[in-house]
Amino acid sequence: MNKKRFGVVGFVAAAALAVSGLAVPTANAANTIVVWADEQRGPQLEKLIEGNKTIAPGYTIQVKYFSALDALQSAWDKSTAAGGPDIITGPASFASQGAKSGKLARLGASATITNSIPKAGLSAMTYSKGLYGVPLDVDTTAFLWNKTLFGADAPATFADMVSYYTTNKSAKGLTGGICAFEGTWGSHAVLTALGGGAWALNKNGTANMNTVALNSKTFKANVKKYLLDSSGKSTGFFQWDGCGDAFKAGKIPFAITGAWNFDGIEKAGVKFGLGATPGLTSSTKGAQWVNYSGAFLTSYAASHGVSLGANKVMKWFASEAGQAKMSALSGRPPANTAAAGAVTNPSTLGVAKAALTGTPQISPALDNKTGGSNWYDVLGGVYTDIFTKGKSVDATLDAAAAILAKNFANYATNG
Amino acid sequence: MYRLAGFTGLPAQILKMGLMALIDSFLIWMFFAALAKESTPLSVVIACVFIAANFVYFAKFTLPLKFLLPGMILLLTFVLVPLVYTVTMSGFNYRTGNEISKDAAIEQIIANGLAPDANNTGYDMTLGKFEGDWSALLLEQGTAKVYLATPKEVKEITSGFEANEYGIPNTYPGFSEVTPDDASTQEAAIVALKFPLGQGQFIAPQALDFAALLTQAMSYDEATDTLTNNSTGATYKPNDEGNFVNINDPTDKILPGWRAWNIFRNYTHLLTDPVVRGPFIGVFIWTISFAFLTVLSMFSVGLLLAIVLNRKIKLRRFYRSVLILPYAIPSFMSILIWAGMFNRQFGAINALFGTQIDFMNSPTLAKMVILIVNLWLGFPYFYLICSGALQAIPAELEEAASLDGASTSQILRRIKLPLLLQILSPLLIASFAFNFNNFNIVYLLTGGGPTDVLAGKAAGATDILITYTYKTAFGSNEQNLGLASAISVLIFFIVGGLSLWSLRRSKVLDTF
Repeated sequence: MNKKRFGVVGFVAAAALAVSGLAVPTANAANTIVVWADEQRGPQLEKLIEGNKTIAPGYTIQVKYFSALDALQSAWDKSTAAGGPDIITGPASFASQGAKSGKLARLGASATITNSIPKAGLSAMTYSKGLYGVPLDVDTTAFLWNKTLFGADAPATFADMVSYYTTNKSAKGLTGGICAFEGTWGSHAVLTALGGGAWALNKNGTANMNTVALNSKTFKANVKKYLLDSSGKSTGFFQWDGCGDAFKAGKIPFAITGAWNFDGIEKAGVKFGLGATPGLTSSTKGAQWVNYSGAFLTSYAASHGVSLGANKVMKWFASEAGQAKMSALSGRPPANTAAAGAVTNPSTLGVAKAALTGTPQISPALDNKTGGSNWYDVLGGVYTDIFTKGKSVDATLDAAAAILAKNFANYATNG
Repeated sequence: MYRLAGFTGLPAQILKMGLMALIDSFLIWMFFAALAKESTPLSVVIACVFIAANFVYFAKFTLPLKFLLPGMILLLTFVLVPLVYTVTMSGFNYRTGNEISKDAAIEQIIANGLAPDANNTGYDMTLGKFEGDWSALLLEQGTAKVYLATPKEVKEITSGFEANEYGIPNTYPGFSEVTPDDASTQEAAIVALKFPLGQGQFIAPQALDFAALLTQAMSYDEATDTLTNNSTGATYKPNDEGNFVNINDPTDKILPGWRAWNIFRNYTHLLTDPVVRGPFIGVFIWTISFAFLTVLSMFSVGLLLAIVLNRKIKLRRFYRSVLILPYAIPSFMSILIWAGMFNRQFGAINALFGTQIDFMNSPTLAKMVILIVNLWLGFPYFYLICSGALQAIPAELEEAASLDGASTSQILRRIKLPLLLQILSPLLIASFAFNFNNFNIVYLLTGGGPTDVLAGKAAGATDILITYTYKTAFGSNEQNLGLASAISVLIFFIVGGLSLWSLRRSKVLDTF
């Protein structure tokens, strides 16, 4: 190349450098604490803490949210220290995944946190004796009944619901009796109302991982009695797959779902009552899964040099003030005991009350698939085989229990 | 005379410089972006592209390269790099719990090994400097005792300090408070602070206003590459799967682990572990069947329609336009609509016939559904190429055969079909390879199901290799990216081998 050409190249390079220099991206800005959330919590957090400089003095909070929980999970899976968050909010299952992968940092011991959050909440955020997050709110469902269809008072027993469905099925064009909006996860209250469930409970209420409850004699008998007709086929009472619209359309009188769906149900014009799922007698109730959503401190916070500030934000997440503000926006019962006591929203209170009859969701046990498949997939198979294909209740539940027994035993041993 | 895009002389040179400046700007921006993300290999590649682009487009003797360079860069970026990366990853134990580097894992284990005391003792803290050293005034939560903590000692103080409105001490003779703004810029120094209490215990800042009483439960010896649990005395050594395991109990392993290099592990696992191998063989057979039946059905229907519409019939243009419609609609929309139509309860097909057929929960019916929907999506393509190929066959051949007394079916079987197959072989092979990896149709229509989980099956009846790979990599809370990469490498060899074999048999390559 001659001198003239070098001059041209030099000019081009200099122009390019000048242009690109203006737009060079940087990693997370210094002293900025980046919080990741999904599409539900993200906009709420954005309203509350985006740009905040007082929660953690010396630091600025930045909220980034994703289009769905799946998208958040996917981004989290692919995240590295270069672009990962300092704090991530999400379901309790993030605790075990993040702890195993080393992407979450253990939280420092803080009486502020441990004294203000119930043990069940802390337990949901714990993996291998380490606390990896603070529970933000109770992630659970409640029982809903359509007041226009069934009446102002809740059904007293499971049999009352079945009787109402059988009697009014044709006259009112009902397409189902009870709808679990959230599929297998949301249907747990139906299982426990009929004497089933994942595992048996010890006398002190703790989980007995040595006994699978899904194939108990009582449950088998009650499935046949309440959910199947005399020929062993489904009566259509129990719905778990895409039935939410039918409840909103007044074609299903009872449902189980969480606070996140209440708006949509109200907008559909359904007047509903809230409570716990009726059991076999008027004094027993179905127990839905009670879990916690949490905020988790990532190990990236240390790499970004903001771990002290991020810890401070975690304390805000655990605090009464923080949780009260978040609950006011989300409608979910707060995990913080004092904040929960101050809730006045009737729907939130209804879910909180229903949560009292719930059972702790031990995610690592339910997600375990040592037997071949996890709890949710096994339950999906059970529902398909019994209610869609009309297969034997006893054989199906025993086969499912054999898989679950291996999963739970492995969890009991290895955690 | 210099020419570029219809311009000549100086305007062409200015246009060229402008374009190069834009390209260079983009590459420099990418270079710094890669550096900011600490991706050294990527930044090196971008730098090489930058140098190559400027050399090729400003040198006079590189004329052929000016046309080839963009294609070569794209080939390198989107074919070779992912291929090399996938092959490399298949040699790692890369799964949930084994995702980070060994150094990062050790750092994490040590950090996690900071154990609080039984009472979770915590302190409200005012951070500052005392006699030039980082220090803290501490208020013990619960007991309300006040301490001055320095790098040398932690001593209780009962007087001489003042507290703020929350009762947290913030002044003491010789102590100067550090503002949060100043402290936040010196995090590294503050995070490293350990105010010693003796007997292995220390107080460490957890936030700018909070500290905790901790002990170091886990320690690492670099010389022997071992971890020791200081409270139990257990020693942990690294295994070949990327975890520290108890030397007396190999089942006792510490998480997180790291991505351990073990080149044959995933491949051995794939071929020997019955849990993985069982589904793999079934899925492989269905993948071959699916790709073959799909290409056969699409080609047959496309050819039939092409022959019919090659004749002069009424409304031929209208029919041709209508037949293109399935091809014009985005496939993911069509697939989701078809999935709804086959729904047992609400689907249009069951409603039409007054049935309750559970298409998606029967392995055979679900496979048929996939073939039908894929036929719907793919036949217009084959109709188009068959039409074009038919029109390319010289009419004289058909006329000559007719004069020799050949029937219509004989002309089709003996003349048109062999010629068509010769012309379309590369497209049929490419279509086979595409459908071998047709993720969308399976994932959106059946999700790979139905899966008989109660019979212990891990793969669904309609899972093909690529969806099975996806499930292995991302389908649950426990991901296995290394194994998924190994399956991907096998898919590459299978598809590549079959395609090469087909191309050689059809002698298509001879004409190139």
